[in-house]
Amino acid sequence: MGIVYNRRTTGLFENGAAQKGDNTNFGGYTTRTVSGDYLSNGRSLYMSNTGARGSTTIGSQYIPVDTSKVYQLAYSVKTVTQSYNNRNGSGHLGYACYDENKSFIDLRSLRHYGFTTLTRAASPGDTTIYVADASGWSTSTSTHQRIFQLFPTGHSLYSAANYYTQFKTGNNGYPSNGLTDLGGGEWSITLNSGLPDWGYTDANGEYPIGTNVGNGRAGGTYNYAMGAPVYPQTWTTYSATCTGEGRSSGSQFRYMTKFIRFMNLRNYNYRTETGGNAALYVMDNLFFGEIPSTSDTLPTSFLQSDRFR
Amino acid sequence: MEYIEINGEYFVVHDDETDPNGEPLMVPISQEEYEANT
Repeated sequence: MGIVYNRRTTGLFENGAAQKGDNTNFGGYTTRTVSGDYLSNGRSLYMSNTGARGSTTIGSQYIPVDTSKVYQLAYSVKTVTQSYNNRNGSGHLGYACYDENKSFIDLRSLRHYGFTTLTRAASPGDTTIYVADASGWSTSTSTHQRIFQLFPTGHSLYSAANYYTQFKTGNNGYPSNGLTDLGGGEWSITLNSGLPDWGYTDANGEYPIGTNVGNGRAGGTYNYAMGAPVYPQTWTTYSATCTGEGRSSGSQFRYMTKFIRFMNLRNYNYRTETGGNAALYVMDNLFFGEIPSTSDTLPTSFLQSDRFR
Repeated sequence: MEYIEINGEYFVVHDDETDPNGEPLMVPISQEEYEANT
C-alpha cells in the first residue's frame, strides 16, 4: 500500500507532528518535549491550558480536498495530567468544512428539508412567498430551524444542483405559524422580514416561478468525525475515513467542501466541572491523507510511529 | 447553554461561543447527557 507524502510533512497537515518545532497552525496548543509525551520529532502539540473547558480550537491551515477521493483522518492523543477531580482530557475531534471561497459551510446552507419551488415570482422585500409545498418545513419553536433558503438559477456555486446556498435568511426567517396550505398545490410562507436582495434576480428584478427554495436548519456545527472520546493516559489513535458529500456532521464531507481545517473541542466532556484545573493532554502525528480506498486505512502501528516528518 | 432535541438527535447550543459565521456553537451529545440536564 502506498503512503502519500504530501508537501513537507507526512499527510496534508502542515506541522501536524510539530515538525517545525513550534505550534504553527495549531494555536490552541503549545508544545511538549517530555519523553513519552511525543511520538515523533521529539515534540508534540500540548493542550496546556488549565482553563480549557469545551472551547473550540480550529487549525489555521485550509487543506484542499477533492471529495470524490478517499481520505483518512487520524489524531493520536494522550492525557498527561488529569483534572482537579481526576478526569482525563476529552472532547470532540474532527474538522470544519469550507467552500471554494473559504467560507465556512453551515448545515443551514445545505439543501435537505422542504425542498420545493416558487409558484409565484418573488421580489426582494416581499414578506409573503408562495411555494408548491411547505409541508416539510419546520414549525419548531427553535429559531435556528426556521430559515428560508433560495437556490438561484444559474449561479455557479449556490444552486439546487450543488445542494448549497448562502442565499438564506438568518435564524427565525419565518414564524412557527407562518406556513399556510392554500390548497390547489400552493402554500404561503410569511417571512419575518422582507426577502433579502442577494443581487441575483432576473431581468424583472424577481426570482421567477420555478426557482428552488428550501428550509434551512441548524445542526451539529462541525464535522465531529471521531466523536467525543475521553482520552486515555496512554497514546490512543482516533481515526475516520472521509469521502463523498452530504448534509453531514460526521466523517463525510459537507456539500461543496473544497477545504477543511482541524477541529477539537478541548475538554468538552467535563466542561461543567470548574472547581480547579482542567485536564491537560498532548496530540501528535495528526494525519489527513489520501488513501486508495476505505479498505486501505493506515494501521495504528504507523500512525503512532516516529516516521512522521 | 441550552439542551435541545432535534429529530432524535441531542445537542447543546452555546450562546457563549460561536462558529465562523457567528452562529451559536451546536454540539451533539448523548441521550443520557441530554436527559440528565433536562
